[in-house]
Order: sequence, then C-alpha cells, then structure tokens
Amino acid sequence: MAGRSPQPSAHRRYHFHFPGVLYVLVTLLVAVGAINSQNNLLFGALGLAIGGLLVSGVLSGSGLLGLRVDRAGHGTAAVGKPLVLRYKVRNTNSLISAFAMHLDEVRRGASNWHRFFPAAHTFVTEVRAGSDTVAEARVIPERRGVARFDLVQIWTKFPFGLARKSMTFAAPLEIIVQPPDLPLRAGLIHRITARAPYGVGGERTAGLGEEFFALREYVAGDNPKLIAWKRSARTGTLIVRQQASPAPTRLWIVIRFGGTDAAGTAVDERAIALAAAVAREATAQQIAVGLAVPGADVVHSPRVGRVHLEMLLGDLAILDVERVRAPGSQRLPETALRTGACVIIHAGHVDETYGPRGSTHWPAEDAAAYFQASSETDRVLALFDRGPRRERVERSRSLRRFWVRRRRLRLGAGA
Amino acid sequence: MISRGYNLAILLTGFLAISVYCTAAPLPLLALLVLPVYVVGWWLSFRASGRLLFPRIVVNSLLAGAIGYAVLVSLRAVNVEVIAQLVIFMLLIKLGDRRGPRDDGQILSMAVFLSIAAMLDSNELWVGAQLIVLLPLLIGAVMLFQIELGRNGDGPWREPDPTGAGASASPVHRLWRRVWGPVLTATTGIVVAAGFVFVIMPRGVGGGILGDMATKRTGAISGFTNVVKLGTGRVISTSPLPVLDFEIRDEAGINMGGPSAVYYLRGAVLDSYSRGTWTESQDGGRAVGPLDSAEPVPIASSSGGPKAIQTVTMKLQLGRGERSPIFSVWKPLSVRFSPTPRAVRIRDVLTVDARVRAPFTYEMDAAVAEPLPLMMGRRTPVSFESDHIRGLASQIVRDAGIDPDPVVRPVSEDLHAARAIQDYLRTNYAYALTEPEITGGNDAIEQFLFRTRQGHCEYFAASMVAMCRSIGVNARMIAGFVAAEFVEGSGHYVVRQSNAHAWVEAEGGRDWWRTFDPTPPADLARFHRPLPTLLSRMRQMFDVVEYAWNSSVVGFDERDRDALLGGRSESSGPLAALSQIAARIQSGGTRLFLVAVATGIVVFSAVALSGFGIVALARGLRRLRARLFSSDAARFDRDFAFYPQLLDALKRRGLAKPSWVPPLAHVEAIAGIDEPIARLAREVTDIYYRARFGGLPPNAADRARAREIVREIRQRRTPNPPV
Repeated sequence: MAGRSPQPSAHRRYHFHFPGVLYVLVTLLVAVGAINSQNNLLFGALGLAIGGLLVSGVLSGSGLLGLRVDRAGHGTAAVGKPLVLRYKVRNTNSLISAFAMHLDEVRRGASNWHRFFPAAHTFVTEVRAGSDTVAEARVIPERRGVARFDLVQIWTKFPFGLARKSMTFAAPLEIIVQPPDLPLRAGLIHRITARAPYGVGGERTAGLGEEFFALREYVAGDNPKLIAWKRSARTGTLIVRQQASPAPTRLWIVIRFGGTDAAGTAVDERAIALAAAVAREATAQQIAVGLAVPGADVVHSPRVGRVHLEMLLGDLAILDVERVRAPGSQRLPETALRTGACVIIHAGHVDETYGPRGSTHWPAEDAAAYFQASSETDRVLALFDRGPRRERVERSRSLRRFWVRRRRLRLGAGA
Repeated sequence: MISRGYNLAILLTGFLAISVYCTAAPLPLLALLVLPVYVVGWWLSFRASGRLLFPRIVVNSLLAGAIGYAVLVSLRAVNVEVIAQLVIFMLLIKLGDRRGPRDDGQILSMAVFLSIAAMLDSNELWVGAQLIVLLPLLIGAVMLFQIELGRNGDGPWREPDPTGAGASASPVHRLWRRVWGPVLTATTGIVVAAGFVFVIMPRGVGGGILGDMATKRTGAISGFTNVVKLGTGRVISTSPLPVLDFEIRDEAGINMGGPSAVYYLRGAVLDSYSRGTWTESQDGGRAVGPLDSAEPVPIASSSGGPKAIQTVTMKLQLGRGERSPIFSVWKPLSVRFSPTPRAVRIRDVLTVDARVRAPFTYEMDAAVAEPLPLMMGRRTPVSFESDHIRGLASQIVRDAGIDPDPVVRPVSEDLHAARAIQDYLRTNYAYALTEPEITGGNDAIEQFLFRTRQGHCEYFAASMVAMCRSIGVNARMIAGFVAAEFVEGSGHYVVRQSNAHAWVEAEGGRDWWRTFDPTPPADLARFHRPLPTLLSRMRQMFDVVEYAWNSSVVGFDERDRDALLGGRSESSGPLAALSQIAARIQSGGTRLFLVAVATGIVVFSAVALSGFGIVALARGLRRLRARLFSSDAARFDRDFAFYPQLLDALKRRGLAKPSWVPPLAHVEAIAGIDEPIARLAREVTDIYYRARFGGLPPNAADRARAREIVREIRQRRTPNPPV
C-alpha cells in the first residue's frame, strides 16, 4: 500500500512575497525620512527595521535548518471519508525551537494526489529543540484509485512574516483510495442470501460446529469427551476428534460493465460503490464474500475476514473501467458462482438472464435506493456526478481565463 | 480558538501605539477620546469572537468617511499628522471588522505606522520610553500573530500534542510562555543590530533636502518671549515643563555649575519701547550660512566684538520649540550646532534658522569677562519723557550721592546710578505673578511705580530701564531664562518654562554692558529654585534620565559617532568617500539628491542582477561540467536513462515492475495484459539488455529510438483512470 524512501533529502528555499517587499519599502522610506529629518529616533527606527530583517533571517533559517520531516503513517482512505496523513517533524537543532511551521504536500515529481483531493495542509505551533512531534493533515478523497505523493514541504513565515522559508523533503507514498464506505439499507444482504445453500463448498476449518473435521493427537487440555477411543486403542496413542467450524454463507458479487451500451462514468462508479458496500456489509455479517468482474480478470472466491475484504476493496479501488469495457471476454465463472448466493450489479442495462439462476440483479443507476438515505450518502454520490477533479480544475481555469480575456478586451475597447 | 495572551498583546500594542503618537503630537484630548474607545472596541470584538460588530455597510461607510475627510484635509497640506490621525480612526473602525488574525495583522501594521509617525513628531523622553516598551510588545505580538494565523488558517487540521502522545487540544493559553524565548532573543538581536546601525549611520547627510513632512509645532515655548506687552492682565507661566538643559564648563573642562550658582541665559534684547510694549529694534542683524556641521561658527570675531579674556563652554539642549534664539550667558564667540541649521542670524543674540526642528543642541565658547573699553561710552539722550518717572529716578540717584543730570554726571557713574535704581526697586516693590489690567490709557510702568507697586519681573525690568533712560543712562531690557535648578546627578541645569525671566543691561562704556536684576532676589530664588520636596527630588531624577536621553540618543551626532568609532572616520576609507559624496549632495540641492538616489537604485539593481547572473552562470557551468566530465557511473546513468523512463511510463499505466522481476520477465508478464505496450517495452528492453549485458553501449540512434518509444507509451491513451 505504501512505499517510502528510507532517507529523505531536503531542499531549502526562500520565497519573497508581498509583506516582505512592503517591509523593505517602509524601511527605505524610514531611511529617507531619517536622512531628511536627521532625526535620531528615526535612525534608531531604521536600525530596528534592518535588525528585524537580520533577526528574521537568522531565527527562521536556523530554526528551519534543523528540521526533518518524514511520514508517520496514514489512515484508511475511502472516497468521501476524511483521510488522515501523518507527518513526523523532528528538530535536530539542540538550541533553537521551530515555531509556526506549515506542512504541505508538493504537487511535483511523480505525485498525482491533486487528482484526488485538494492540497493537504497542516500546521505545527512549535517543535522544541531536540524533540519531535507528529502533525496530521486531513483531506477528503473525491475519487478512488492510487494516490501518489512525492514531496513534502515544510515552511514558515515566523518570526515576522517577512519571507517564506521552506524545506522540501522527498517522502514518496502511495495510498489506495477505496470506494466510498456507504451503509446499505437494512435487510438487503439477508434478502440476497436467503436462498443461498448453507455451508456448501466452503473452505472448512477446525472449529466448534457439529460436523466432523479431522483426527489429531491428544494434547494436554483437550476435552476428554472428544477422545476417539477406538482409534486410540488401534494406534496406541491418544487421538481426539476435531469438529469443523460452521461453514459461512457464501455471497458472490458480480459487477457487469459490459452490455449493449456503455454506461456513464457516474453509473460505473455507483456500481463499484454498491459492490464495495455489499462486500463491507456482508463481511460484517460474517458472510464469505467473493468478487467477480468479468473482463477485468478479477475473480476472488468467497472468504470471510478483514484481510480478504481489504483485498476486494483494493481491487475495486484500482479497477480500470475503461479496460473492462473493451471488447473481450465477459464470461463468468459460472461453476463457482453456483456455490453461493449471487448479486449482479449492472452498470449498463439490466440483463436478468446474465449469471446463474436465482441471482439478484441490481441496476447501478438506482444505487441510491440501496444505500441508507442520509446527507452523507447524497454528498458522496454527488461527487460521482461532478466528474474527475482534474477536469473540474481545468474547467475552472478555462473559465477564469475566459473572464480575464473578456475583461482585457473590454478594457481595450474602453481605451 | 484565539489565545487570550495573543488578544492581550493586540490590545496593548494598539493601545500603546495610539498613546505614543498622542504623546508625541501632542494630542492629549485625542488620547482621552480614542483610548477608551479602543479598549471598549477591543473588548467587544473579543466577545464577538469572529463576528462583525457592525454591519458591513456601516464599517465601509465609516472607512469611506474617514478617508474622504483625510483627503479633504490633505488638499490643504499633506503631512504626517493627517495620515496618522486617519490611521487612528481606521484602527478604531477595524475593531468593528475584527474577525480573525488577518485583521489583527492590519492592526499591527497600523501600530507600526503610528510608532513611526510618533518618531517623526517628537524625540522626547516620554515618546522614547513608550517606544522602548512598545518594541518587545510589538515583536511578541507579531510572533503570536504568525502562530495564530497558522492555527486559525484555512483547512481542517489538528495540531499535534506536544507530548507526542496523540492529537489533542493544544494549550493555547500558554502561547506566551512558548514564545517568550524567541521574543527575548529577537528583541536583543534587533536592539544590538539597531544600535550598530544607529552608530555607523553617517549624520548630517541630506538633512532637510526633501522638506519637512511633519507639522511644525508652534507655541511650545511659553514664558519666554521677545515681545513684552505690559498691562495686558496676563499670568506668568508656572509650568514646570523643561525648555532646555544647560551645562557650563570652563577652559579646563571643570563644571562651573552648582546648587548655589545662578546663570542668566540671554535670549532677546528688547530695546525699543512704545505704548507699553517692549520689542527688539528693527536691526535684523547679519545672516551667516550655509553652515558646515563639522566646524564651529565664529561669531564675535566677525561681528567685531570684544575679545575674551576668559572663555567657557556652554552646552545647551533645546527641548522644544523651533525658530529659537541661542540662549547664552555671555556673548558667544563661536557656536557648534547639532543638527546644523541652514543659517544663523547674528545680532545682540543669535537666532537659528527656522528650518531646524527642535530638539537640537549647541555648544558655544563665550567671553566671561571683557576688558574695560578704551573709549568710554557716549552720552545717550534722555529717552523717557515722563516727568513722574524722571522725578523718581532723580530722587533715587540723588539719595545715592549721584548727580541725576546727565550733562553734569560723568559717564563712569552711570553704572552706579543704575545700581542705585536696581536696589531701590528690589527693596520698595513686591513681586507678584499676576498683573493688573491697564485701563484708561495709563502707562503700565507708571502704574507699577506709583500705584500698584507690585508686579512680575517684566515690570521691574521695564521700570528700571525707563528710570535709567530718564536720567540719561543707556539701558535695555533682556528676556531669557534663569538657570537656577542644578541637577547634581548629571551636573547640568534644567531650565523650565517657569524660569523665564526679564532683567536689565546698562551700558558702562561703548558696547560694554553690565547686567542688573531689579527683581527682589528672595522672590527670584523662591520662584526659580525648586523647594527640596519629595516631588522636586523625583522630578530631578527624571531630569537626569531625560538629560541622558537627550545627550546620548537625541543629540547623538557626527562628533559623538567619531568619538565612539575612534577618531574622525571621514579622514580616510569608504566613509570618507561617503562623506564627500554627502557634502556634494548637500550643497547640490534636491536635484542632485534625487539624481544620487536614482543612481544608487541603478547601481544596486546592476549589482543584484550581476549577482543573479553569476549564480546562474555557476549553475550552468556545473551542469556542463557534469555533462562533459562526468564519472563513469554518471555516464552509465546517462546512457541508460531511457530504461528508468520506460519503467516510469509503465508504472503510470499500472504496469509497475517489481524490483525482483527481471526486465524481460516483466515484459512477458505484461504481454498478457497489454500486448501492444509489451511489444514496445520489449524493444526498449532489448536495447537495454544489449548495452547492459552484451557490452554494446547504446548509440545515438538506439537512445533516440528508446526515447521515442517511451514517449509513445506515455502518449498512448492511458487506461481511463478510475472514475
């Protein structure tokens, strides 16, 4: 999920901005005023202004030079859910504390995070000399996929805001942004799995069920009631019976992107969000969940557990819908699908003959009907309708350019 | 959440900035009005916590009104006062629009401006003391502002727990404690740097060349005046406000001052009387200038005055006022000013050019005693025709055994006659601060001499001059100050407004004037010497501090700088060149000054551009050297740069190569996913293999082909990103 370089390298820069330029101008004015009036207090003020410049440079420079920034993990990333990015800021300077530090992700290099969310930013009031602290930035991803981070910049205008001093550290990171975590309406999973054959074909493990699982040697602490006396007498060592754990209900989730027409991006995303919601809900109910996406070579047999769920969500996160839609095989692993209940989510038109008999068919277009109604659901589903973030940014820039051009034209006409 | 310490810092900074400006202006009424409003406004804005106090339209209307008013006033004259008062009003209005740290930034900027305006207006100790307090406060407030700006900026974030145990609410109320170290460091550093700049800045360069932006204060000197109007019902000022500091030393540098020594500082010679008013005669004197700051201005030799047989050095500091006479105990022989006025006017007393703004200091050498003139003075005609006055004067001198008739009396007895009149006035008349208003066309002097028999020093002096002149003794009234309040701590006299005094000079020979003071000595001492009360002692202590402030800060000049830096710095080195340039600019006027400034900007820009150019050139050379003389490893990296580019392009398409998979195996692996891409990647991989393992370094064509393939892979339609 994440990859990072072991040793971050740093790059230091000074950025002069308007307040700094204004300060220099005021200092020059004070100098002119002092020379003109020969007023010693103004000479003193000039000295203070120049001293301010020097002290600002020394304080901020020395405070910044001792800083090291590294990543300190992150939270789970899902569309519409706040993602916490953590940074460890270490002050190697043993004398000078660093104050008012801003941390930003830099949009350069191999990074593509800007397609997922606006700039991540956080602030650290103080990093004491010789100590470290952890800062957190929160962003809300707007799309699924693999978000790549490359550089982290720490900057400050402390102490006087005259110049912006920055250090940039290489800290590559990849985060898989999963489909949105939206709750399904109550009872939907039960309705799907009602006709599923109980315990058929599941991978069995030792447990506390009623069925026989295996024999094994007795170990201290085993229940004496479970000793298989006949086999023990035959082999000369104590053998105990192991019971099988009850086989979970099996549920297949199939997303069908193929069809007679190509659905829009928003519908595709709703289909994926619906599949993710079913997977999460079913896993929470201890149902073994499998996933099949015809055309994408994604076939995961039903299993129970958090790790398996993460794998399914990861595959859903990086699912390339365009490639799935390409003409090719849309075949289903029919045989496997017969071993459990099956829900087929149609991104295009609903073909009820598709998949094994008895499958449940959900149109992705009506995804909102399957989710619990809430403002959160509406907000996340609305994200799909807005289109990719990069395109929105481009549209916004084009609009801005248009207005600027129009204003210039007007000014030109006026002149 | 804004911390309380930060809020308090904003309050105190704004408060002190307004206070320091109102002290410097001086505008006590404005301070009384504005400061409470500021505190209340701050409190309301604090309570409002981020909301507007007034509707936006009200805030904008008030701002527009204040700016409009300032523009209207500025049409008459643009000066610092107008802008500073506008800033004060904007500061108050801003409190109604104070919603976050950005607004506080504007408040702090305005506080800085008010501080600068205060410095332009006044150099007084009170102003300096407030500025000294304001400096660390301002530094702390700006630092806290930077922190608050980050803490309350845009974007959701959580500040880390300082203990590292996890995110939690930060101790905002401890912000002050967290920044006091940097505040102390910054204040110390700034003060040290400022002291260094203060000392090394050359003085006397370009003074007054752009005119005077601050409004000249008028009427600051009260008590002393060069026009004495008798009988107007005035009250003599008893204000303890210091007017000047005075120090007197002999040729050996020994302080001649002391608690028992009293000195008369001559400021104006009033020798013309008409209808109750004493004025200076119409002789405008002689103008000397422009003056050189480094050299003392010779006075006596050029005016043909008597030579001194003993000289003293007096150092005076004028605390307030402008177009001022140069107060002196004796006739000055030479004067050295700081700052140097454009010119001085020499007559019986010196007067500085009106362009010099107080406070300024001057040192003068003066003749303590003058030899008796070889020629006795001429007999002056009787100039007071009042029979009553002549009768009284005649009676007085006759009682002293001197003939009142100027025709009979020898000139050498004139001073004895004057002394007799002085003694008569001292013993027979009472001193009073008030004077009766003269009505019905009566003469003020006659009324004093024959009816009221009491008055202040101007009446005593005027009466003595009148009586002397009525019997043919040439006399004149002198206005100035009495230096009687000696400060032991610093060895100087403090002269206050209440020390203004008038006395008499009588001519004993040609241009040989002797001083007489007809005011009763006991009253003079009572009025001009402070009583040894606790308050007066405290005032003396303050005077010591003020004198030190004026001597070392306000009065710091080129000579002090030279003394501090060790010898005259203009003699050689870069400062010498700078001084020469400065002198040229000073003598060349505004045009040359502006040309010099423009030249400076051009030279600075050229040097800066050259610096940037050198840096850019160095970088280019470094890159070129790396390209031409790179090591084998670097060359190897350069030759195989296309392969990492290929891997990057594949990675972007979601076909990243795991580090443990060999290149060809990876190409075969991706063939099942994307055949066309795998085919292209295969071609590049072959080039890489030939070079890497076949010992055939890629030629230019291979490299070009590899780059072309990489470009093609990048440009091929990327699989639609999710969404």
